[in-house]
Amino acid sequence: MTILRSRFLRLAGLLMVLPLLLSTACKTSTDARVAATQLTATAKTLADYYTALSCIVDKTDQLYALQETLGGTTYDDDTRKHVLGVKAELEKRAALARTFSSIAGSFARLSGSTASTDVPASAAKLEAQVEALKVTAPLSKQQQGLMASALQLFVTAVQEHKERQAAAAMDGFTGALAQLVASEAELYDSLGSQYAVLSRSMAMVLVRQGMVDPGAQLKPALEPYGLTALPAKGALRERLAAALEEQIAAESRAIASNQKNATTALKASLEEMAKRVHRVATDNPLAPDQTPLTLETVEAWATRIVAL
Amino acid sequence: MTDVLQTLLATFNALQLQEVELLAACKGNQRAQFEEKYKQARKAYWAYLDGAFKNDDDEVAALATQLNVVNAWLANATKEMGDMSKVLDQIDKALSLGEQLAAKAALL
Repeated sequence: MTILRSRFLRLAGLLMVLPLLLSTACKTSTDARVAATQLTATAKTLADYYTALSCIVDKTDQLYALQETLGGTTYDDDTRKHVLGVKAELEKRAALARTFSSIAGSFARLSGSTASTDVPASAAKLEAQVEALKVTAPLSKQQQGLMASALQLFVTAVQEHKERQAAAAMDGFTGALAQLVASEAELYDSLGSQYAVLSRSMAMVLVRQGMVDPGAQLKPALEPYGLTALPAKGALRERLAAALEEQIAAESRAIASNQKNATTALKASLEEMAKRVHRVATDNPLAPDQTPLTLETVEAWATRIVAL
Repeated sequence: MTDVLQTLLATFNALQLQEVELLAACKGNQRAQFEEKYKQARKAYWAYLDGAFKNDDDEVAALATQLNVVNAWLANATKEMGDMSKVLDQIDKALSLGEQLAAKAALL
């Protein structure tokens, strides 16, 4: 009897607050939509960026093994343990960014008539991923805790269709995320730099050992006529090999600088994202002319690295 | 973080870029010595990354400056290949400073 009464009261209560819930499920404001667009795009790009970084470490692992096979320095277990440790950390960040991407989607769908039922599950997953991160200073354990609390608030706000409250909850999270990337940017760029030097070194070894046919450089002259070069010999081979080495050196420099440009663009986008979410959270209107974001640089770099 | 990471990376990248030439210039047990030093530099860099320590300390900055001087020399080590023992001595100096740096950074 008591149970029936309790269920009845709960149902009655729900019927009483239903109109209120529907009225708060208002149309998402322009500012919220702009912030949501930025949030969603940046979260996806962040995941792609970390996946590409993880690929770089993976390729580095393979190159060290190749270096040993080609008669260079042996690849010791201790170093490999650290290399794989770094890879694992990057994969954790990629997973966090992917979950963040699904959360960002929920924020973008706030204008819809139904709250996304997968938000609590995604948020719980993200919370666990935040806690599992081995973070560098200045993102402290306390800040990680703040990120986790922000997610709980966000879930509640999304379930109640309150975009400003949801933005306020996301405000702490996006700010801390932008800070995490900014504080680790040097680590990320160093990975690109060492990979550029290592891959260049290995390519040079192969060219010098005569394992590469430099005649492939004749392709632009012959290809339009359906012709194929014979393996280059003698003085021509030497000239072409020298040109090939210059080409390798230039490409190596490009690998390192493209990585830096991608990191810079990503940091700028994360900061912009945090700024826009903060403005929605504080009811501070965004500037009418929103400058285009710089995510293309990051996406182009990530796509190229993954395809290598 | 910047100084320590950059200097460890500079030492390692300098050795990586010249690994083939330096190995070829080694005589007798110099090859084993060079390989050991290269591995030490590589491990120092990856261990640092893996641990991702912070760096705000003055002492760390001073050590980083010293290591930068040695790194500037190491960057052109192949020019000195006639005297491989001198090259190995400089690498030793860089590695020793790198280890001190990593240890200091770990305490911060």
